[in-house]
Amino acid sequence: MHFIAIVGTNTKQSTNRKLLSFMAKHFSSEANIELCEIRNIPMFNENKPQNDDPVEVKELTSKVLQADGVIIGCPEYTHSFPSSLKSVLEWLSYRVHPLAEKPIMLVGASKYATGASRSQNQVREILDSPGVSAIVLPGNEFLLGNSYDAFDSAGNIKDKKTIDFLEQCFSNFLEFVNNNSAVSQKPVGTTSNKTNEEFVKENKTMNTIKDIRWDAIYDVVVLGFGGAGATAARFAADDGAKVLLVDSAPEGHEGGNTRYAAQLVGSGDDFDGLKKYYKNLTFPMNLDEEMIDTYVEGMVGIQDYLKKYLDAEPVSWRHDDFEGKEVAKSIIAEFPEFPGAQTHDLATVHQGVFDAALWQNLKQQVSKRSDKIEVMYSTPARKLIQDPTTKAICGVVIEREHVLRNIKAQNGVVLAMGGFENNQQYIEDFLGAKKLTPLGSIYNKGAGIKMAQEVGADLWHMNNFESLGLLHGMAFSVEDDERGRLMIGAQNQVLSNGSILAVGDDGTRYFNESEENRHGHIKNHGSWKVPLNQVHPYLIFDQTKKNELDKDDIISKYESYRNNLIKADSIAQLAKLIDVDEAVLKETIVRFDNAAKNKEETEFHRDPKTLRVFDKGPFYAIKMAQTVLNTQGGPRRNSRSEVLNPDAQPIPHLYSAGELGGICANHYQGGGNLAECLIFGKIAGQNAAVPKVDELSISYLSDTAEENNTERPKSFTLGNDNTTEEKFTTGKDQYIGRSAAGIGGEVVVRLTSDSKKNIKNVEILKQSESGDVGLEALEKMPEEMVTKNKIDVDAISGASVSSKALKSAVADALNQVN
Amino acid sequence: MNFVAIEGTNADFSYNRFLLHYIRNHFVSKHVIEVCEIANLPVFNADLDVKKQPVVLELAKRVEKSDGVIIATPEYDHSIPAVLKSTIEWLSYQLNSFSKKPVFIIGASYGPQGSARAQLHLRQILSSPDVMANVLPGNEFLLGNVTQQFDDEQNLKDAAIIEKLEVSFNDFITYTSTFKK
Repeated sequence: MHFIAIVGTNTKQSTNRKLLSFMAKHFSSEANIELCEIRNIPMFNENKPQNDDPVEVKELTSKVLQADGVIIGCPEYTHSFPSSLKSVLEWLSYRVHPLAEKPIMLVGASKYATGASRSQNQVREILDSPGVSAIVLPGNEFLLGNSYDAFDSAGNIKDKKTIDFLEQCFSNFLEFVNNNSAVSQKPVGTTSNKTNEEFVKENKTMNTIKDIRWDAIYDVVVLGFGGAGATAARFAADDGAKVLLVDSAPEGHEGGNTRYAAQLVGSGDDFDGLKKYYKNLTFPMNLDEEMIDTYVEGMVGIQDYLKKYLDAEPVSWRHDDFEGKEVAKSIIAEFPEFPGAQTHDLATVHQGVFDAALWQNLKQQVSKRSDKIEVMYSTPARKLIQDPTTKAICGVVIEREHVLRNIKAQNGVVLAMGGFENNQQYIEDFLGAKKLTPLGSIYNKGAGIKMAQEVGADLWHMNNFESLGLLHGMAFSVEDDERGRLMIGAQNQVLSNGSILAVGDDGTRYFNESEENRHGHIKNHGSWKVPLNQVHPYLIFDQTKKNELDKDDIISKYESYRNNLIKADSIAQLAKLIDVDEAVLKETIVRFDNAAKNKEETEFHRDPKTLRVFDKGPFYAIKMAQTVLNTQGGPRRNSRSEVLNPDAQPIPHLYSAGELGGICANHYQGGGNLAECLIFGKIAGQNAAVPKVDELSISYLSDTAEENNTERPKSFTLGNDNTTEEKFTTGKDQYIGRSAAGIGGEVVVRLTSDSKKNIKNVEILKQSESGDVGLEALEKMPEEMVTKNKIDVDAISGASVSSKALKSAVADALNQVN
Repeated sequence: MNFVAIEGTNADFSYNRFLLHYIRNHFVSKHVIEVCEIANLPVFNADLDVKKQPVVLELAKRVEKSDGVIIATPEYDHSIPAVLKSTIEWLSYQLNSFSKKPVFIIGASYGPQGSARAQLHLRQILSSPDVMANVLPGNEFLLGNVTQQFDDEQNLKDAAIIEKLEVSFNDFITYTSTFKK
């Protein structure tokens, strides 16, 4: 049974409101009573607005239409009803007639002994008038006199007899409602030119929820299977929720940017120091203090988190000693000059970077809970379904095998769909760039931003993004739909030293090439900024540098470098080929050479040790591109991971985590986003899992109740991709070998071997390695293993993870040979 | 004498407004009757300070300075319009504009009853201790079937009705005079 209880006054203090709140609480096991305020309903006027009712009236109309009955808490002003209540009754009896044949219970409280008796009598007459035509529970006059003294501090009625009488009245009302609903459901004929049915038709959106045919029902739906989504799904499941986790990417390509990231998680052990550091990173922007506290508190607990929830032996890159820790040295505190920097640490689940180890762990947590979490790959989310009245998010439209499906989320929806690195329009609109080359997932298309906007979310950090790679966060230019190749360390060394320089669109230099970027940010007059993007930046170098590049194993073998290299005998010719002014480019090189000779570079203060005079020719140019590693823009959220509207109020049942609306603003410290995925993913998942009944509108609630009584629809006909292990067939002398160490997850091989463990054939049955080098490894290495009859063949450079995974899978198979 | 006549609705078109204008014109030789509209008054809210409501204060001043008030009420859902109730609430909550003020209730309606039920509610409301108006007893002026009552110049057509109005109005003058002494 669902009732709405109209608080019959617009004042802040009201004992009638207290009375209704008490009833809602006291009778919660018998009925859901939703309090409705009338404060925002304008004064009734038959002429204004001219043709249509105000939106507040429509909302109330919808609520009344959907309620089984209405309780009115009626104060008394001047021996009569308050005008604000009468105004509501006028609205509800002029163009629309939602109260027609609606069972009504009148209650009233007043400061004096009469308990609003005169007001109640008048309201009774009004409700009985032909325009209103409500059916009022006869007798059962509940008159709460001396109401200022009637309640205790907890809002309960003090007097036991009064409660007894209220219970009796309410039970009579329940009976009255049951009897009446059995008799008739159809609205009576009215004098209005618009019937209730017409009203419902005209206000379709108000009833969409009721009309929806749900294809499947879950407690929590998580959109996006990356680090944040996997975390949210896992913690929602641990809190008892039945979870659906969807991702737009095909199986093996899920993981968002988490799978491509260095796997380093921001952490620390000194709350105050770390907070100081994060405030400095954000400066000069402001960030909600509670958000920072939540985030920093989470980072201080990361080591425990990895132990407790991910069963890992966490590694501290600042404090632990192990081989290979040098690679992360420069990014443990990317802004070492900021106060508090020395407290920042990076944590991993084992000793290693860029190997998807954290991602694999997070993914396994989901696989382990396949009884609670269903997964769908290649299934993009299209739209959130929002209750028009309460604004609560009740479900999601997803696209599964080209069919749109309505998925109900009883308790919450988590947006964890990553950034907008691959959405050209957003990149132009928010980042002001013609093109940015993604380094991470190509499935991050900013779909969550649009979906959040549609349901009224506020946005934040839209202009923040990070780059990584060569120079100021660049990669060798690639085709529009390709990922850029991330190169750092030795490759950056060779490109930022000697007779080589970078020019922007006009052929002039625009930054200090030898200064390493901090996630794409370079020094900018005391601050650190991602430089203004150039449409066609080029590296210009001479033959000596060319020879050095050819010695670099990775650069020299990289196709985008080899194919796009431009060679010219003169600067003039080179200028023509790269579309810059000849004189300007000449001047640029003259200045550079002079600086090298004078051992002082006055334009950008590049370290003189890194300068070398250009040879006479030939000259080379290679097109570069600004990379985008991650974006931070998305729906604004609070410390409970609730998505907020522009008034900073949570949109009920909607949560977000990860890169979509990330907390990191302005300067970015590596590990920040992964920390965010773990910290806010957990909060989002847990909050989404909490069952909610308080703020749901009736349509949603009523069919929820029905469904709760029946079994869940026969588990789901849409299919579940969260399979723990696939079976593969084997013939004579064939063995299946597996490794979970691939970038994209499992690598499965079928080995054909004789009894002496000679490798006859290696077939790859399953892999989801990333494009280019990973695939190259899986193509070439099996052949080589057969030819050389050994597992330990040379790894393909740049694909050490995929190579290792393949070797380990073959070894696994070989071990099975008796 | 000086009277304030309150038009009890915020509707653009109202026969009650015709009625008040007719009364103003009909008795203009002897009395000043100022017709006041209430459409621009804010919605009454007990949390708001009336001192910050200039429109309300303006009406209150006129009511307080007048010798008596005529209220024309339509009938909405068997009672008075919310906007009229709101006006009375404003003038009686932090103010006492109606206290002991002679009031003459009239009303027009499309049906034959002439807003009889709304007038009864209005009488109860005005007589409540918070408002404490002196409502003219008896003399119910109920103008039913209102679409047929006015001619093209918006004057009442029916001589018997005009006479009834004059009798009631004269009673109101007498009643008001007793309070003036």
